[in-house]
Order: sequence, then structure tokens, then C-alpha cells
Amino acid sequence: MNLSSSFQQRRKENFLSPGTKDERLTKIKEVSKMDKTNSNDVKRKSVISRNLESRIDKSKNEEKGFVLVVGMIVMSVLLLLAVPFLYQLSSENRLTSKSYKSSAAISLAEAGVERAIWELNYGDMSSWSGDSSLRTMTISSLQASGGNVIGDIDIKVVEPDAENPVVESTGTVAYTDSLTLISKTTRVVLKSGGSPPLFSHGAFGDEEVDIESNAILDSYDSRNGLYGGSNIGSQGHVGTNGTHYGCIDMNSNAKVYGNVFSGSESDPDSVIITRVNAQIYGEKRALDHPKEIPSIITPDGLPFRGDYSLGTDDVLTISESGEYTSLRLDSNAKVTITADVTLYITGEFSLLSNTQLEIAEGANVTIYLGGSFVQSSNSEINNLSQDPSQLLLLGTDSFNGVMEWNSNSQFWGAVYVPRSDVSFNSNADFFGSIIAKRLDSIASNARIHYDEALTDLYIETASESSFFIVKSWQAKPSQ
Amino acid sequence: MKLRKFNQEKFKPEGFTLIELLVIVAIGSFMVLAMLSLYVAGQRYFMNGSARTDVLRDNRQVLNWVSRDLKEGIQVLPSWDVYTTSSDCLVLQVPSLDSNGLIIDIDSQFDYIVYRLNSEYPNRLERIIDANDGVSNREDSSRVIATRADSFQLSSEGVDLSSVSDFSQVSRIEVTLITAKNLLGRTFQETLRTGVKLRNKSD
Repeated sequence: MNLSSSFQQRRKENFLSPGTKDERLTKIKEVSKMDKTNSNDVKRKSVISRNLESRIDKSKNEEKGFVLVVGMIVMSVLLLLAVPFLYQLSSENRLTSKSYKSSAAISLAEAGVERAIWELNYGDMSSWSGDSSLRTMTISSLQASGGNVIGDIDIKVVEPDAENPVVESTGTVAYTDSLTLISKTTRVVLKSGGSPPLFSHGAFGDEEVDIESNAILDSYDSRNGLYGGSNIGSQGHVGTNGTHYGCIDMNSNAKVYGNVFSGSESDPDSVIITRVNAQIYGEKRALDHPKEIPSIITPDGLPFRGDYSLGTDDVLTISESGEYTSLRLDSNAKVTITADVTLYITGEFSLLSNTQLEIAEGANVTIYLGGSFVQSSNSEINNLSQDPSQLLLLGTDSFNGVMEWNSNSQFWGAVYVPRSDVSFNSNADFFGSIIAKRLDSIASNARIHYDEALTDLYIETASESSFFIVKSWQAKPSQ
Repeated sequence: MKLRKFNQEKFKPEGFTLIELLVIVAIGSFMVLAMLSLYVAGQRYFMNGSARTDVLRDNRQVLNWVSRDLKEGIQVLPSWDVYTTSSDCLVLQVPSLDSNGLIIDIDSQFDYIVYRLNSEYPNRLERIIDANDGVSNREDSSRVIATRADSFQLSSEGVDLSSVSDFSQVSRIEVTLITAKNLLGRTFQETLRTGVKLRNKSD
């Protein structure tokens, strides 16, 4: 009994025991041997061992390696197909990646040039390394808004104090790894003589801006045609140089489709107040630097025309420039300007009931205001070109009273009255830009559409800023 | 003994019947055919891919040349020598360069670069340089920069250059280049377009 149970135990172990086939076979043979010595169990054991051997033989027969061979053939075919695909993918990827990295390096170099020009015009270069013959600065690991590092910028400014400083800016971007670098250098020679754009905002008050309820400021570009449809932009910026609380006051439902700027180095949240539902669709921020509000240079040597006073249904056509002591229009009088002229009105300029100032299509007109400006709500200034850059109203230093803008008809033009407070009472469309000492109230329901093309309009002013602009530009050949 | 006999019986070689052979040959040929067709498809795919890459690379290279010259351009001229600016010919005034490749004087020293499709072989895009002899480091040359140019179109602010009347107002040029390659009866085409501002144009 004991022997029999020990056999059963070993048989069970052999059958279940893990190990190689040979080990298992050896064990089976052992079992067979033991079977021979124990005649009581011989018959039973031989049946068991036969069963086991037949199992092993079966498993031997199944292991022919056919699946492996087929698998290898399939794999090699797939590999054969994948190689050209991978090759093509990698070459296209390399091409695209290189082009992308080069563009990034060029953009970095350009950004460096812009930085240097800004620093020369508004900033202070003394904190840069070097001396007055060569200033350098490195911006390392410039990051995109998502936090990804784009690359480095090396900026060199040769003779920053000279008449023609030379800026060389190199953008460097790591290509595939940090050891392979793509560098692009931009070389720019500067010249002085430019001035910052005067009409950079839709509405700018040197000291303050007050926007009444429901007024809307947005933008368009007259170079693309008239306002409307797809030609409506969100550059209708509003700004002030004022830095104290509430310098810009936006009343309920007033909307600015652009940025609203408080004075340089001020807290925009305290300077700009937005009341119930007033909306700024751009940013609310401080100016990078104070906006210069230069004086207008009064024109010299214009033929003297004296006083002009037009009464009931009088019509006057102006085709030549001139200096007027006053120009008064009353009761349906009409003045038509037919050519490119400059008018300098040293005294009163008034457009009273039902009067019209008409600028013929194509005529460029500049009107210098030196005294006062009076306008009735039913008077009209018709700029038939419908191009704001063709009608300029410029206030000299002596134009320092209150300017009431009352006309309720559409206006295309640029108004710059730096020493005057403007009460903007019109609620008709105003296309262009308006800059004043104070924009006291931009009326309820007023609609000011800033013309983006005015940024390129140059007006000779008494600006003191020596402003560098680009004289020559080139992508510097690699050494 | 009984066990051995049993195994021998099981693995006794018997050979193949004709049917079995035929089936094997059929299956084998089917597999070879399948692999062959896969290989051919793969090779065609590779050739197509490399043709497309070639066409794209050519296009990019040429556009890089053109945009680099345009960026440095002072102005587009209506004509120069025997060349006239049109929708597929560009005459560009660029500043002369010194031996270091730097601009000499943007106000007085100029070279001229012409891009045009060759009149005899319209698929060839040429870059012709007429340098300011003795001053500029550039050399007079005429070089084919693309042999697969299918179309080279120039416009400014959306207006075809052949319709521009006043070139002094042109400060931005759009270039559209189509490069193409024929391979085994198939045409591979790439169209790239770029807009470049003349950075040295005086206002």
C-alpha cells in the first residue's frame, strides 16, 4: 500500500512537474523501470507511460516551425514595403523641418532687429554689453507662448550713436538635436529722419477719453475699399497718456473693438474704467512709451485771402491754397474745394445751419485751424473721395479752445487738434481718426471707424524725437 | 517493442499525390504572386514619393532664391535691357554688394536681376544678373534655376504684373510657382505661393 501510494505520488509529480521534454522523458523511463520491479502495478503503469509518451510524440509532431517561417517571410515583405515608405517620410520630414527651422531662425533675427530699433528709438541701450562703438545683447532660449523654446537671438548694434547705426541680428534654432544649429542673420542699416505715426489710434486723448454709453469704436482699411462686410477690423484702438484713475471712462454698453491703452507705466486697471456691460474686445494695457503729441507747424507763405463770410445760398469754389482770417458759412451756403489745397484759417471757421463743405473726388485737402471751430448739427463736411487720408483737420498751438463736433452727417477724415478739448456730439459714422488734448465725450451712439491706412500717413510736425527707420535691409550671407 | 512499432507506423513515408503537389504549387504561386505584387506596389509607391519630393524640393529652392532677391529688392522696373516685366518675367533692381556680400550704397549702386521663363524651353526658369561692373561683387550671369517649372506667375496685391501701370507703387510681389515631373505616364505637380515685401523700397 505504502509503495503503491508513493508511486502514485511520484507519477503525479512527474506528470505535473515542469521541465524540458527530455527531463520528462527520463522521468517516464524511471517510472517504467519502477513498474518492472513492482509486478502489482505493471499493467497499470505501462498504460499510463504509453499515454504519456503518445502525448510527448504528439507535441513533437506539432513543432514543425512552419509558423515561424511564414512569419519571417511576411515580416520581410512588410519590411520591404516599409523601407521606401519610411525613407520617403523621413526625407519629406527633413525637408519640412529644415524649412520650418530656417523660417523660425529668420523670424528670430527679424525680432532682434525690431528690438534693437525699439531700443534705439524709445529705450536705453546703456544696459547692453559693450560701449558706444558696439553694443550687444543675447536673448537666450526665447520661448513661444506655449512654453516651447524656439531659439536664441544675438543682437549687435554697431555705432548706436552714429547717424547710421548698423544692426546685425542672428537667430539660431536647434535643428534635429542641440548640436546641429541653423542660424540666419539679418543686417540692417538705419537712418534717422522718420517720425512715429501720428494717427495710430482711432481716438486718442492726451489727458483723457470719455466714451458715452453705446458708442462703438472699430476699424477698417480704406486701402481695401469702404467700411463694411469683410472690411471691418478690430484695430479701433483708444488711448491716453493720462496715468491717473479713470482717465479712460467707458460707459454702459460702450464697445471698443481694439486695444485700450493707459499712459506709459500706469496701471491699466485703475486708469481704464469699464462700466456696466462696457466691452473691450482687445487688450487693456499701458502704452509701451508715452505717445508724443507734437505741435503742428503752421504753413508759411500762403496767399492771404482775408475774411470770407457766406450767407444765404452763397456758393464758393476754392481751387487754390490760401490763408483766411475767417471762413464763415451760414444758411445753406456751400463751399466746394476742387483741387489739392492747403487752407490756413487763423480765426473763426464756422459751418452753421444747413451749410456744406464739399471736397471734390480726388482732391487732397489740409485745413489748418488756428482760431475756433463751430459746427451745427445739420451742417455737412462731404469728402466725396470717402478716403480719410484726403482730408486733414490740423489744429495749431493757438487752436486751444473747445472744439464741438456736432455734424450729424458721415465724415471721412483725420482730425489732429493737440491743444484742444473735443466734445464729440455726433452720432453719425466717423471714418478716420481723432486725436485731441481731451476727448471729453464721445457721444452716446457715436460710431468711430479707425482707418488703419492712416498709420502710414506722414505729417510734418515739430516732433523732437529722432526716430530711426530702416535704410537698407539684407539677409547677411553666411560666412 | 509495441511502442516503437506504433511510432514507425505513424511516420511511415508515403510521398505526395499529384493532387497534393498541384495544390502546393497553386498555393505557392499564389503566395509568390501576392508578394510580387506587394513588392511592385511598394516600389511604385517609393518612386511616386521620391518624384513628389523632388518636385517639392525644386519648388522650395527656387522660391527661396526668388524671395531672397525680392526681399533685398529696391524696386521692380518696367523693363531693363531687352527684358520687360510681365506676368512671367520680373526685372528687379537690387543693391550692389561688396566683397563681403554687404550692401555698398543703397542710394547709388545697383545691380539688376531678371527672372523669366526661357522663351525656347518654357519649363526652364532663368535667373539673369546684370551686375554693376567693377563695383559689385556679383557677376554677370545667366543660370537656369529650375528645369521643371510648369508655370511662373507674378502679381502685386492681387493684380497681375502685366496689368500694373505704375511700378513705383509696387512694394509687394506675390510669386506662384508650379513645378511638375512626369513619371510613368503620371504627372506630379506642386504649387507654392509666396508674398514678399521689397524691404529696400524707399517710400
